Parts: sequence; structure tokens; C-alpha cells
Amino acid sequence: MPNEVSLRPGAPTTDPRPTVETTEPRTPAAPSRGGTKATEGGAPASKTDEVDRRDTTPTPPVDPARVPAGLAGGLAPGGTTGAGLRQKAVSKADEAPAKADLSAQPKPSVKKLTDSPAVAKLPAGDRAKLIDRFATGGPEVQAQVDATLALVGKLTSHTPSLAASVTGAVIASITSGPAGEMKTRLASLDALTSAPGFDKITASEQRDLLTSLAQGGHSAERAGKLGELLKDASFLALPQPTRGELVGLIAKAPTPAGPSAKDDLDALVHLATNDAFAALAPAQQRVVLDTAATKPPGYMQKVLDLAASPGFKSAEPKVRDHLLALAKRPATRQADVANLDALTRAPGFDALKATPDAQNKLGDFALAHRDQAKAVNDMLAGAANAAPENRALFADTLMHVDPSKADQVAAFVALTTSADFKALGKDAQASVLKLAAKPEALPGLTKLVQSPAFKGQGAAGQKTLLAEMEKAGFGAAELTRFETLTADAGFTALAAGDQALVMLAMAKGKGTEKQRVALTGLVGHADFKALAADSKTAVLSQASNYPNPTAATNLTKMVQAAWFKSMPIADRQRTAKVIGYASTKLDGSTNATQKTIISNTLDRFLPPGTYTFEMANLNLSAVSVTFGENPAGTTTFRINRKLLDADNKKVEDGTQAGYAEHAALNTMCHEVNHAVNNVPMGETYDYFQDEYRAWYVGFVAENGRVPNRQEAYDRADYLLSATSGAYNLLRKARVEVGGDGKPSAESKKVIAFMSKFTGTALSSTDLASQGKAVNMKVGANTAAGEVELTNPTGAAPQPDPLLDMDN
Amino acid sequence: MASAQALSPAAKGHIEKRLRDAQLDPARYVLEPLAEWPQDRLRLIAANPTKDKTADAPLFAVLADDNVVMAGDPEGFQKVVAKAFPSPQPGDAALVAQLAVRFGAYGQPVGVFVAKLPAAKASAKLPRADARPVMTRRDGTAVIDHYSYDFDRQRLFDCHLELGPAGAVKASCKPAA
Repeated sequence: MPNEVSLRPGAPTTDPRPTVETTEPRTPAAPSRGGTKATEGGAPASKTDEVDRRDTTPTPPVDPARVPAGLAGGLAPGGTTGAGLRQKAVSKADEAPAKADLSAQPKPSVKKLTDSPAVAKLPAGDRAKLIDRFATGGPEVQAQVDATLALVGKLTSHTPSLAASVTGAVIASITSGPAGEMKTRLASLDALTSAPGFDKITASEQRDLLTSLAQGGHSAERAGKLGELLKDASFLALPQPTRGELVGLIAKAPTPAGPSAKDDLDALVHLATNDAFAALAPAQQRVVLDTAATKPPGYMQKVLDLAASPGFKSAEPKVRDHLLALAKRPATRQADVANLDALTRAPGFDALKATPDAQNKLGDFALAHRDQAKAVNDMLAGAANAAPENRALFADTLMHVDPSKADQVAAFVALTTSADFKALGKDAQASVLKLAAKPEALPGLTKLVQSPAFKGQGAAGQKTLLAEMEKAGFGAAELTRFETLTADAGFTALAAGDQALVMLAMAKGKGTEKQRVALTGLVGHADFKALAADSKTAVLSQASNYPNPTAATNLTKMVQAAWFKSMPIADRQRTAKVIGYASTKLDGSTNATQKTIISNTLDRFLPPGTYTFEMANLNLSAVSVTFGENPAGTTTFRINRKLLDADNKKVEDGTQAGYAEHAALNTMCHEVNHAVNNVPMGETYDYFQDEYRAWYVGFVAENGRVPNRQEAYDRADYLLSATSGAYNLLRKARVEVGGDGKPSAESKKVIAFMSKFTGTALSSTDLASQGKAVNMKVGANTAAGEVELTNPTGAAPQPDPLLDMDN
Repeated sequence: MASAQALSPAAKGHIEKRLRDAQLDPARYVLEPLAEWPQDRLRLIAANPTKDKTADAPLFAVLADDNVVMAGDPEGFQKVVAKAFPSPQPGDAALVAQLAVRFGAYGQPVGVFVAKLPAAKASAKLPRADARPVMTRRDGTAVIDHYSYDFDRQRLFDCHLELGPAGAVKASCKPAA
């Protein structure tokens, strides 16, 4: 196995490079590889050393020529001889004695040092620097030799070994500064390097802490603070690079605190030892550190409070990221962070944890309304009452409320914290929340969900009703009208099922005042009240199916009609749907003629109108459909009941859809027109015009426009060429011949009317012999002798005579 | 009830009974031969209303034994077409198509047979631009394609009729415009 590395028992797993010793002259002040450079105060200025504690940087050589005679050869086994005797960082007070000592015998302290195995273990540069300090130092320095030796002993016996750069930093600290403060420095250095956690941090961090110590003048207070830091498990557990960066900030923190948190040692130490900070993800810790660098002292504590809140801790990482990012924004104030902290502690915030986007938006909202923090938090009280699926919606709705308006806030809280809100199904609740996006609707919604009529509808009914209200865009005014309607005696007297229909009619009718008045009038009318239960339901079903005030008003008239009262329930159901359908066409019409025709038609048979409306068994077969009829000479019109199902659905939802709508509007107006004009049947031009007129009126009622000439020609030709039915009379009138063998007077009038479609007088050769009345040129099916239909899309000729055209 | 000339008392009786069965009052109708129809091919009698303004008129085919087939009767079209057009020729296409519409061969009301497009539909995109019925023969089956029009609802139907050699009938209509 040529590529294997043999690991002998007991052998080190890594190759500790041997310390390189040299006697070559070098520049005394050459820095170690770690690059630690002594500052004026003796503390390292940078922290670029590697973490490796087995610092094997070659020891800087010392110029033998500069070693005091008494020291020559006395520095073994370090290999170097008295180095760095030119003390650079010695106080002026020490200077004169130092010079005097140069020719003197070694001081006892120096001897102690040179004899010390611990000192011998120091890198040559540090060793020389230390000896030099004592060689040149005055009494105050000499007095610290034992303490120094003790410290050096600890340094050199440290497990694991300290990096040379760390040791160098300590030595630099010992040897720099005023002699009078040496004792203090030694004590603080001893305290720091002896702290239990010192060997658990990186060399770079060790140097930074030494720097911090120097930054604070080696005060006992600072030493104590840093010692606390090194005992703290949270600090020691911080990940990199967080811990390194934090210690870097600590190293630079001045005393007293500067203008930002990064200049506040207490704040930084607190941060470093804070459990909430330790619990953050590294990226989040990074944000906090950035905050420390840009915000004033005290700010970071608020951030840590935020990070410590249960709501923050339980939130998704993206929420925590967002909240910290908010805290980091330049415009964010300390009070804002406190607000965010309070927000995350609000009872409802945690309920939104499954909807992190909502929590993020709430954070934004809280900042945008920094002066109404309490109101924002108060409004979260009902969050847990919202179904989990609705919680994002809850937050959205909350943010539609103006927190500066106490009445809105109170109304939102009242609604969302109510048991009735909580009891709603999720769909109903969602609708309520959407409706509540109009804050002025909040009081009305609260009343609604608490009302007995609403609660009596059950989950399905509530869902349907609220969905309609939502669709209709209910606001405060609509809800007030709704409340008024449901408080009416006529309404409260209804069965729950009928109440549901009325409420739906109001909701689908967009909650207008007209609809409220119409529905109130219907349910309060004596004739309505007198109806049997099934008839009430039939009528109210159509008020709900056709939710407009015109329908409700006409249904109210309908229940007063004698013909309605005499109908069986099945025909009442059919009739109610016809009235609802026709009224709705009237209500929605934008064509004045159409409106007039439908309105007048309904007025003919709805009280005080005197016409009679009947249902009849007319033809509905595979051959043909009879939509309705007007028995000659009567004011009765009949609709084919086979076209209308006996139920409470809409006309257009029946089994004969397509025919039923035609019957309920076109046929109704057509037949009433016959009754209004009362033209007798017969082989006459007048009857031809009576049918043409009735068709024209029905057409406008159904289509909302007058027919064009193509459509009118088709109808006229159809009437005049029918070979069976009542229209057979019209064909006879067309082909009738007088005693002179020429067209009769009636025929001539018919032909003259048909000439209106061609623009020129038709002759007998223009008349068709079979199947058609006129040899009109139509499409590709042309033949010689055909006449042209002029202006095909122009308005159709009006009936002649006009008579009553709007019923 | 108005008289219907040349109708035997038996045939008349059958028709009146059928009217009553349909809850119609014979007194409100006059029985007349269907106009513009070749009665020599098949006797068709229309019960035209005299008091009600309606296009609807029950139609009857009078068979040789004076029994009648009422339009809409089950298999009514099969019976009358077999009698009147046992082997239809191309020139019979319009009459056969008319019978199919009038006697309910298509199972639904499809208006009235038209051999010429309504003016309002003349510019519509249609399967056949020429509205005249077309008859072809395939393996002994007469196939007729034609249009019908519901004048009340202004709907055009494209109808397809197949008359098989053993009296089998296949018929269908679909909206065309």
C-alpha cells in the first residue's frame, strides 16, 4: 500500500512542524508570520492570524551585538540572544534607568527571566522583548517579575498551546504601557487568559479579546466583563463567522460607549451571551451585527427582545428574516423595534405562523402605523378565531382597518373575537372577512352574524347568503337595509326556509333600498300572508330567483289577483316564475319601447289590471309547440303549462328551456296584444296585420329592438303561406280572387303591404304559387323572376294600421 | 263543427275522437284538406282553429280504410310515408321532407319545412347554400337532406332523413343557424 500513511500508536495525527530556529541576523522588529503588529499601546492592531494554535512562525532573530553582556548566552534554549533591547514602547520615566542599566550587571528580574524555562519557551522576539522590558524597567517594573513569570508560565503551559501571535500579544501588553500600570495589566491579562473559555476560542478571537482588554486600559471591570463572556455557553456556542465578527466588534468597543451599539461593550457582551441571539440562524445573526454597527446603543437590546419573543421564535425563517430586516432599515427607530417585539408577542401573531407572508405584511403594517401599535396588536386578538384557511385573509382584512380610528378597531375586534364569527363555516367566514375589507361594514357584519335569522340558516345557508353579499359588494348601507328588512314583522313571521329566500333576494338584489321596500311590501301584504305555505315558498322562490324590485313588486301584485288565487299550487309556481322572468327582463331593459311593452303587458293582468292569465294544456309534441293563445274576443291569455315545470326553479332552468323563455315573454306580449286590439279572425288584411302586429310587439319585447326588414319579411311571408292553423286564413286572404277573376280587395291590400319589402308594387307574377307568398330573391337559391328585398337590415315596416303597439 | 267535404263520416268520426282525446274541442275547429298538398298522393286533413289565434292545427292523414294517423303519433311518419311514397323519387324530396316535419319524424319540433332560406338566414354559413332538399340513393336507401325553420324562435335546422328499403327510417335534425 504505497500510498498509505502509517499511523503508529501514539504518533501525532498531524505533523507538528519543528520550530525553526535560526541564528541569522534579522531585523529585530520583524513581525511574526501572523502579522500581529504592536500598536503604541502594545495591543495587536489586526487579527489576521490563522487559528492554528501550533504557531510555528520562525522566531525573529536578535542581533547579538545588541544583547547586554550579562545576558549573552543566557537565553538558551530559545537560541536567540538578547533581542530587541532597544525598547520602543517604554515610558519616559523608565528611559533614564534603562540607559544606566546597559553597562550594569543583569538585574535580578532579568536573571529570573532568563533562567525561567517558561520564558525560554517563548518565541525569541517575545522573549527578547520581555527581557528588554525588565532590563530597562524601573522599580515598578521589577516588582512585577514574579507576576510576569507566573503569567508566562501559564501561557507556555496552556493547553492547547496558544498561538505564537496570541502569546506575542500578551507579551506586548505586558511590556507596553506605563510601568505604573504594569501590575494592573498583568492582573487583567492573567484573568483573561485563565478564563475557562479562553482556550475554546480561536487565536484570532483571543487576540481580539486581548485587544479589547487593552482598549479598556486593562481595567479590572473590562477584564471581568470579558471573563464573563468566556464563561458563557451561548457565546462559546456561537457559530463562525458570527462569533469572530462579534469579538472583533468587542475588540474595538471603546470605553465609555460610543454613538452606536458597536461602540458599546456592554451591549456587545450582552449580545454575545444572549440566548435569543445564539438561537438565530447565522444570516440572521449577521443582520443583528449589522444593526449593531449602524444603530445607537440600546437599539440592539430591542432587537434581542424581538428575537426572544415567542412569536418570533415560532415564526418561519422567512418571517424572522423579514422582521430583522425591518429592524435593520435605516429609517426604523428603536421604538419601532419595540413595536415589532410587541406585535410578535400579541396573542394572535402566533396564530398566523402558518401564513408567513401574512406575518410579514403585518410587520410592514405595524411599522407603517408605528403610532398605533397597540391598536394593531389589539386587532390580532381574533386571529385564532379564524379558520386556518382564513388566517391570511384575516390579516389582509385587518390591514384594511385604519388603526388610528378607534371605532373601526373596536368594530373589527368585536366581530372577529365574537363566538358567532368563530362558529361560522370556513367559506362563510371567508366571505365575512372579505366584506369586512370595507371597515365601515364591520358593525353591520357583527349584527348580521349575531342575528337569529342568519344563525337560523345553518352553515350551507349562511355560506350561500354571504357569498351573494360578497358578490353584490355589500357595505354598511346595504347591511343596514338588510337588518331593517329582517327586523320587519312580515319577515319575522316567515318560516326559516322562506326567510332564507327573502334574505337571498335582498343579497342578490344588491341590498338596494328599492329592493328592501319591495320585499318588505311583499312579505307584509295581507294577500301574501293569506297564502298557504307552499304558495308563499313558490312566490318567494321567484323573488329570490329574480332578485330585483320590479319582480318583487309584481309578485306582490300577482298574489292579489283573483286569477292567481284560483290557481292550484302547480300553476301558481308556473305563474310566479313567468312574472319573475318577465319582470326581470323589464327591470334590466335599456330599450324604452321594450320596457313600455313589457310593463304595459304586465299591467294588463296584474291588479288593478283586469285581464286574466291562465295556464292551459296546449300542444307540445314532436311535431310542434304552441306557446300560448288568446281565445278570440276575450281578454284572457294562456300560456302552455307544458313548457313550465311546476317547481320553484327559474324559467330558464326548466326541462323546456328555450321554449319556456319564449313563452314567458314573447308569447305573453304577443297574446296580450291580440286581446288589446281585439281584431277578429278571418280571411282579411286586418287579421293579417293583427298577427303581424302581435309578432312585432312580441319580437321587441323579447329582443329589445325592432325587427329588421329581413326578419319582418320572413314572418309576413310565413303568415301568408301557412297551409294550416289560424294563419291558413291569411293565406286565403292573399290568394283570394274576386268575381272578376282578379285579386280581391283583401288580397290587393296584402300584396300592397308586401310591396313595402321590395320598394316597388308587386304584380301577380311576383307572387309565389306554393310554399311562399312572394318570389323573393333569397341567398343562393335564386330563380328567374325573383324580386329583390330592399334595405334588408333597415327597420321593418310598421303594422297597418298601427293600432295599439305597446299593449 | 264545420263540415269537411269528401270526408267520410267514419274518417270524420275518427278525427273528432282524436281531437277530443287531445282535450281539444272539435267545435272550435274546421276540418280542411291541407292546402298546397297533393291530396291524390295522400289525404291530409288539417283541423284549423276558428276561434283561437294560434298557428297550431292538428293534422291527420286519412288512410284507405278511413282510419287516421294523427301528426305526432308514434311511427306516424313511417305509416304515411310507406303509404304515399313507398319508393320515393328525387322529385318527391320536398313532399317527403314536409311529411317528416309535419308528422314528427325528428322527435322534436323543428318548425316548418322550407325549400328556400329565410331572408334573415340567407347570409349565414350553412352546410348547403341551396335550401332545396336533396335526395340521393345509397344501397337502396333514399337519403334526403333539407332545412326546416322555427319562425317563432328564428332557428334554422339542418335535417337528415334516411328511408330504408324495409320501411326503416332514420331521422335527425341539428341547429344550423
